[in-house]
Amino acid sequence: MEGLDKLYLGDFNDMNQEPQDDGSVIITLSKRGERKTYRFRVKNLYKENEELLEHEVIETKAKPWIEKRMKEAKKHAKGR
Amino acid sequence: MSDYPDYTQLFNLVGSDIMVPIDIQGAYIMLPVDIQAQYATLEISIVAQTVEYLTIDIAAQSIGYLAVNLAASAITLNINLLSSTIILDINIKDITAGVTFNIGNIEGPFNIFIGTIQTVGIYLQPEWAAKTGIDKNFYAGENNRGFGYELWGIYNVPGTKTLYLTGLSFALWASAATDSGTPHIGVAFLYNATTDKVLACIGGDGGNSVAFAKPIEIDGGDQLDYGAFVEENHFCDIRVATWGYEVPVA
Repeated sequence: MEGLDKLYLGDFNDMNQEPQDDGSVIITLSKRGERKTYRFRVKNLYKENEELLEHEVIETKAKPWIEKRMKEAKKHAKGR
Repeated sequence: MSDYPDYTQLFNLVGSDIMVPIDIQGAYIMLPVDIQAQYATLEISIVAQTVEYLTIDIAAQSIGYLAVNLAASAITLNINLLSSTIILDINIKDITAGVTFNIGNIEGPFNIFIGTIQTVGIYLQPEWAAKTGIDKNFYAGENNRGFGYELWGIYNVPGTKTLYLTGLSFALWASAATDSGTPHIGVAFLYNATTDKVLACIGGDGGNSVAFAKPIEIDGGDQLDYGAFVEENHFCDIRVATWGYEVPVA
């Protein structure tokens, strides 16, 4: 539901839409700095009988092994 | 004392709690004020035909509210900062209703002089929107679609905002390896579904992209449709993107 609220408030920077064969659309919204992606599937988007079918909030984190390497790189830089 | 007007009153008050209402009316007034206190509230309202000299020096640990309102037929306002190191921060943030600097009708030149300086950043509004996080990017995509397929993404602009679009692009390519190396013709549109107006259209082989010379404005409450069509006789994967920024209605 949170993602759909963000859509109606325009509270996002990026939106991706993937139309589905059943007439629904998968919408992905994200806003810089939030580190979250809202992914939800809606049927009859913006119509009177709009229906939210699925909704998930995905935490967006850097891959742990990349974070580890970045920390190591910082240590190396300090040591030089 | 010959330089003093015909009435002079010297005040020298020392105490822990002092309140001095002053109401002075005269043809000529000279009032040097030197205030030193731990907490001070100072309101000065001046109504005069001519204000010849006005200087305010404030040094305090914190200043709650400071307003300067000037209204006169001619104003010279000099702000002179003289120091080996000057930090001039004007921070305006967390304002959802926007900020407006109004400079009225100017018949003469309006000059901004920037002397010797290493770098100066001047942003156009789309760049500033991205920097301040009010930019909008819309995408849509679909795979393995044949001739005449219409890919659409839709967005209803909130009633309290206005959307400005600054570009449109699309891309399509063969879904099957056997169709690679052939043309992949497609077209893309921006459409205001509320006003029933086509706003922009482009076409091309494999895709195309355009940056608008002026932003396309879409009012709050209107529905933007952004789409791309497969115009090829084999199946294609297709994407469309448009971008711009969205600002609260002034």
